[in-house]
Formats: sequence, structure tokens, C-alpha cells
Amino acid sequence: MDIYNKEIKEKREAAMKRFMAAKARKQQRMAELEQLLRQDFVARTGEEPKFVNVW
Amino acid sequence: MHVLVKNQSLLTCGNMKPLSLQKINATSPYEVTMPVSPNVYHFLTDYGVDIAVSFDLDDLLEHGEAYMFNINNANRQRSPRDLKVRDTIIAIIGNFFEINSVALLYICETCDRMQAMRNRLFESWFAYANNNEDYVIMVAKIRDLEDVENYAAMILRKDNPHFVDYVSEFNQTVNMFILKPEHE
Repeated sequence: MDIYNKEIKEKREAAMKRFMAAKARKQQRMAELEQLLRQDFVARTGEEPKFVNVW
Repeated sequence: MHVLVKNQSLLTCGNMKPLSLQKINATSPYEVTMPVSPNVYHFLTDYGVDIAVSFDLDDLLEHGEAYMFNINNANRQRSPRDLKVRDTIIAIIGNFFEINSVALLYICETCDRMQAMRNRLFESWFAYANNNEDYVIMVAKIRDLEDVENYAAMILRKDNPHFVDYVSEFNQTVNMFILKPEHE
């Protein structure tokens, strides 16, 4: 049973690590897209956007 | 005119094949452009909202090739409900699956605690897009290490040659967050 528990724990930790990494990558991409959108918005309108939303 | 500035991203498009703007724009209400790289797409709405979407290679699934789908928008006023945005996103995702036999992942943003609302919106869009039942969408609630409740989804075409493997791996991954060893 201990071996079974150890295996589940290790797999769960590995899955959580991948999930947290995926969230971190998403945040990095969101920051990049926000920068691109701000630049585009200013170039197109001459004004800063008031809202930048992540979906 | 769209003038998105090229930027060097650390994120990768992996083996993703570039989407066909010609095919997307044949059905999309808004004109979609690819201003930065083959995995970033952009369109401008009737209300002056700039919207960018991206597909980034992700290893949330250990074995199946999968891409994280992201949407971001910028504007000066709160935009009204715009069904053309939904239809444009659907056209982009539809072409993604026409060209790429992989899975699409989506994690709802949690920074403002509106993740449940985002999940409902995305599910309703997808239900609309899935009229012919060509796809499956699997949604999971995952409580992360920071005790935040997340909505994570995998979208897959039913004719994907590795359909069973993808579904099995997504289920196994999600189950890892639910199962707890005894005496923990």
C-alpha cells in the first residue's frame, strides 16, 4: 500500500508541476500579447487602451 | 491598418502548421491577420477592440502534442456583446483543427476570480461551434498549489487518429488532482 501511495503522490506532484508551469507560460504569453496589443492600439488610435483583458 | 510590432517570444509554436488566413477569412466576420508569428493571430472589431489569440506548444499532457489557446483584447471602453467575436474565434479554431491533428488546451485566467464566467462563455461558444458534434470538449476543475480553483479544458476533434490516447491521458492527468494517497 505504501508503494501504491508513494506512486500516486509522485504522479500527482508531477502533474501539478506541469499544471503550474502551464499557468506560468500562459501568463508569460498574456504579457507578451498585452504589449503587442497596446502598441497596436496606440499606433492605430494615438491613445492608450483603458482596458486590456485576458480571457 | 494593423501594425502589431514583431517581438521575440520565448514561447514556441512547436510543429504547429500555420493557419490559412484565406480559409479563415472566408467564414470569419472580422478580417484575421497573422502579424507576428505563425502561432499568433489578430483582428479588430467594429467597436475598436483589438483582439489577439495565440497557440503555444504545451506539455501539460506528457505524451500527446497539445497547444495552449490564449485570447487577449485591448480597448478604451467596455465592449458590448459581439457575436462576431465568437464567430471569428470559431473560424480560427476550426482552421487550427483542419490543419493540425493535435489537441487544444485552455486554462481560464484566474487573476480577477472570473474564471467560472470565462469557462461558461467558452463552453457556450464551443457548444455553438460544435453543432455537428465533430469535437469533444473535456473540462476539469483543478485546485492548484496556491489554492486557486482553475478551469482547464481540452478540445479535440473526434476524427483525431490518437483520440483515445488523448482522452485517456487528459483523464489520467485530471484524476491525479482528485486522487489522494491514503493517510496523507
